[in-house]
Amino acid sequence: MKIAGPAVAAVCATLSFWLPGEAHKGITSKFTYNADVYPIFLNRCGHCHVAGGVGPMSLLSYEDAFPWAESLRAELLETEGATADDPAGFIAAAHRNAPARELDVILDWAGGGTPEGDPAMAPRPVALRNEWTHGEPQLALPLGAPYQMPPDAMEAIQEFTWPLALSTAREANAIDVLPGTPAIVREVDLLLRTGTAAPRPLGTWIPKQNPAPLVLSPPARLEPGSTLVARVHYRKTWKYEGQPMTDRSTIGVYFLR
Amino acid sequence: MKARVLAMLLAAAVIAAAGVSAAQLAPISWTCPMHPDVLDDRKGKCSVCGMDLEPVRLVTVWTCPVHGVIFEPEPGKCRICSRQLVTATMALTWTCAGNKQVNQIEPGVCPDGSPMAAKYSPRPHGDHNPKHGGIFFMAPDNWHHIEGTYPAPGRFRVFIYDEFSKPLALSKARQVRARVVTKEGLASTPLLLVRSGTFFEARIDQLPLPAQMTAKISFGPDDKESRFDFAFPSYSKDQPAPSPAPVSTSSGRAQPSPAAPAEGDVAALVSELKTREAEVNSLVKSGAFGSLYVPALQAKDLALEIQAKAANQPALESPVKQIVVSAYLLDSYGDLGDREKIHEASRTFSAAVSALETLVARR
Repeated sequence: MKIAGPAVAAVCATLSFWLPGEAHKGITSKFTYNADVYPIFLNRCGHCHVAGGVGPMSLLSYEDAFPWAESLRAELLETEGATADDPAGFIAAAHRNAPARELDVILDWAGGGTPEGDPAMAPRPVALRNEWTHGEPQLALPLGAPYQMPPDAMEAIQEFTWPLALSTAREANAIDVLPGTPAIVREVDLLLRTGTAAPRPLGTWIPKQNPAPLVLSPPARLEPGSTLVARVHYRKTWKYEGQPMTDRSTIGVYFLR
Repeated sequence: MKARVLAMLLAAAVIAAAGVSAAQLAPISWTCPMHPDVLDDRKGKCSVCGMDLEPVRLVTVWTCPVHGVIFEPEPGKCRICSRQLVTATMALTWTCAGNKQVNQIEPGVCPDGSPMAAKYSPRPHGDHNPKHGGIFFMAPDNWHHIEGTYPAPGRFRVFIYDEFSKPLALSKARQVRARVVTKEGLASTPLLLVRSGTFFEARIDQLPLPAQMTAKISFGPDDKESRFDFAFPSYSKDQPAPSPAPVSTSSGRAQPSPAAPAEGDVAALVSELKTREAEVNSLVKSGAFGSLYVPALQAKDLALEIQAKAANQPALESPVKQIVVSAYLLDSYGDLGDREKIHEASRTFSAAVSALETLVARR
């Protein structure tokens, strides 16, 4: 009997979705992005690895996350701490604080075909949050003028200073940074210069999943005429290579009441 | 409704006529025509180049490690050379004998009324079987494969394959630089391409069995060396080695246990974990790196289960995490055949298992 080829093919194609069969060889993971992996990325990584964040990629949508599966595996299995890219080991520490079970989910998913899962469970878009985490500071010190990072620069360290116009000495117990352009503000060394003495380090601010101000313990005594110094380490990721970037970060100081 | 039932019956008739039962029709996967190792379970774009993914049916067939034209649905022997058949992942399509242009993923009927014939095409990394009785590894570049053999005392050979596990073309083989080291710190011996271009060979000292040696290979003129560690328990016979599956206990080596970790109380789980640790150590010692992933990944599942059952012991988090990380590292390094890294990961693995055992015993 002569059977119309396209009609048969169409029927066969339809039928094939109804037929039981073994799972195809590409997908072996029992975890899916939508159900299992996204919640981990949101809670452990989403502050930095979001569109516009300091991370080199967003992990908060399937389309953004799955191409990085092999990189994720390599990074999470890396046993070294500080590297040339991360001399203080901050990134290494941030990347390896997931508990064992969550690590297993990510590694199994990344090595097992990165299945997306039920489209009905696809997460809604998440926007970058960039705000003071401790409420408005008592003293907010923005950069005097925006810093222009040239297109051919991938990295730069810029020092900014603020003479403190204080009438009396005050004790500061915390200091925070509100990046103007979070994507390029990698870390900020904060120092206090009093008189002619060498600047005293107050600490280093870095972007974190759970951002918080730098606690000054014991509190730092800010004298009238002293100068706050911020050395900002700017770094572009591959996304911004060749582009001019602008930043006008603000330093926030919290005083003891 | 009647039309739909009729269409289903017609389709079933066609499928049966094509010699494929309904239950055998593998589901459709989606792959990139330029990057065949990209696979997805739905239509989309290639994650590497952005091209539209195309449908493919992936099946496991039994084939001869030497005669790639042999495809059988079941284990058996090659009809040409009587070697034991080995499994390989292939793409299944249907074609017509009189018109090779026909190549579709659905069975059908040829213009002359005869049913289409099934056709199997190799997939990259679908065949990790040794072809000459040796030890098979994938290269870190995720493209080349190599097989090392020790066919006679003092004779070491390396076969180099492409991503489809086919012998490298002569022009590409001539770009390879390879050497063998029998002991670090001693001078290496060059591995020279034989005239036929089918393998590289070096004459080395006649080492006692198990013979251990390291091949260091650059696959291209600008490539850095990749390291492959071999341990030959016996002289290689040019018959396919068994696929990574339970090793015979008659040889005295540990046999990997069945896949599913045991349920039960914590003590029983710890005992299972120790068994997996012993299997890992045995495989590391014997050089059977390609099989490491089985007990290693079973062990990490057991460790996670122990942690779940002993929920009031937060101190377990550290050793369990070490077991998880080192299990995945053993899986990765096992494919690459890097003995140094495997040994380091197995030491971490064993230390973490001991730490977990100690903590559980204190409950």
